[in-house]
Amino acid sequence: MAKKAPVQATLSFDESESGSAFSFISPVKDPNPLPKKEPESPGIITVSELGERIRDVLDCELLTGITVTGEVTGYRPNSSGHLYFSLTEKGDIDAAVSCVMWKYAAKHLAFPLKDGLAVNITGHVDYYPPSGRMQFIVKKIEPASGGKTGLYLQKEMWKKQLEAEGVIPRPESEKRDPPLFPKCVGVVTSRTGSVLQDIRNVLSRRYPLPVLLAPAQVQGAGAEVSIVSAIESLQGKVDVIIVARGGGSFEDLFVFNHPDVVRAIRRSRVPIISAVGHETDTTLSDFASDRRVPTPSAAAETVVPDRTVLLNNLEEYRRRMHDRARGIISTNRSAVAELKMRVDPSRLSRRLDMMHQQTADIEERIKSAFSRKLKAEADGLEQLAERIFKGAKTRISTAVLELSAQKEKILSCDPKKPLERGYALVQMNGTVIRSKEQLKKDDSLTLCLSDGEVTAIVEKIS
Amino acid sequence: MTEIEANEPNYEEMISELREIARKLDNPNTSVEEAVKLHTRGMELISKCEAFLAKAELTITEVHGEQTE
Repeated sequence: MAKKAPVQATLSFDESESGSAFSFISPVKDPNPLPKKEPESPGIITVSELGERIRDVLDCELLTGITVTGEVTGYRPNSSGHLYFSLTEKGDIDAAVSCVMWKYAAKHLAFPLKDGLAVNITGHVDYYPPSGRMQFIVKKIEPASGGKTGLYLQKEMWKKQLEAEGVIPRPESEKRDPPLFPKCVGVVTSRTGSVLQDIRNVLSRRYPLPVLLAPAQVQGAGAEVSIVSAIESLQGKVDVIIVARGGGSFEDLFVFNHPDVVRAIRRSRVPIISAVGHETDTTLSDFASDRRVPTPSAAAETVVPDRTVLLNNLEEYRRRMHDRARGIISTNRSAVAELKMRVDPSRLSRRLDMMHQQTADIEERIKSAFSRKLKAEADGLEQLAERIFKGAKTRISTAVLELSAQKEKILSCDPKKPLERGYALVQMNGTVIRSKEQLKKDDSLTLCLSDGEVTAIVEKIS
Repeated sequence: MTEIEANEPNYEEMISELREIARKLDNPNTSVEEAVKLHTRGMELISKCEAFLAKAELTITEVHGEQTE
């Protein structure tokens, strides 16, 4: 144990500390400290020397590595992670000891600490001179064996362990529905007691069927082995298993928190209904099962349908099938009757007459339409011929007029026409003479007149 | 009882078939021949189901073979 250097402190009477008349208080921080007080005479020691002596005394085998049992009171978790509490004992002689569990040890605590829990703490006693406080330094805390608080802590530890293993809670997606109409129900419960009787009564009333009982010890030492064995023995032999136990105390139901039982329920190949205790009781088995119901009777009601309802349903099926089959037959009878009526000879004769009439009408309509069509075509042709005739006539008249005009035009261009008015066309060797420059004296000219040609000789050019 | 016997009447299968028959009969296009066959089969199944429920009885057997009632 590390030794602390002596510090200056005062010894005072502190009425605020219950259970102890004297305690050391914090060091006095005097702005004008007095010189360290020396013992007045041999045999008188300072406070710090007393603290050292106390620590020396406490640092012994008797007060280190010890385990103390008691109840947690005044639990004060510190924001730094350190846990402070008192371990107390109530009885003929009340006793208490201040405890602290440092952060490094507290992080290994397997369950939540709270007032009233019965625990075993392991550690050593230490004395802190600055505050004059003696306290138990806790290294480990375990649930005290026996008693409800101890079992509660045990349950919390198992819960954490099973959650870490993924055993609980069973995911919703992995919860299996029991079959609608089971052929055989397995029951894990005590051979004696009212639970089996309750299940039997409900099944007899609702849906009698074979029940395979796997008797099990449902409380006390070794119960977990018995329950696990019972669950295993029903695998492959039933459609659904009820794990049931009647109401009881927390301790009575405790075996259903046992990891072996919880694991056996989780790995069951057959859906398991958990019905342990009453509605307010919850065990870890409930979290591993496929369904949790409040009572064994409720479990029996869950796993089977109600025979009365099933019989009513069958009667409803019977009525519905009669109605539907009669309906279909009736519909078909009506269809046959209608067909029969339609193939009746007199009806057929009338039908033929009507068809003849219809044929005649159609023929008449065709003829009439054809005639109208022919007339329309003839009228069209006549109109077309008239249009062609008129068009041709107009065109011919236009052509005659155009021809006459062209004739006049051509006639007016005749080179001999002016000859009729006394003009002559002068040529020499086939060339028309237009200028005197083309001529010289004695040239032989041909003069074309309207009624013939005359040859002339050029005598003079002026 | 040891193992579930596979050949025992399966109530769930019979009810399932009954539902299918009822569904077909609800269809107005179902032929008369088919309707008669379905009706006959349906009545047979209903009788079997009723007989199953009527003769059902509770037995409690211990898993290791001892019948308690």
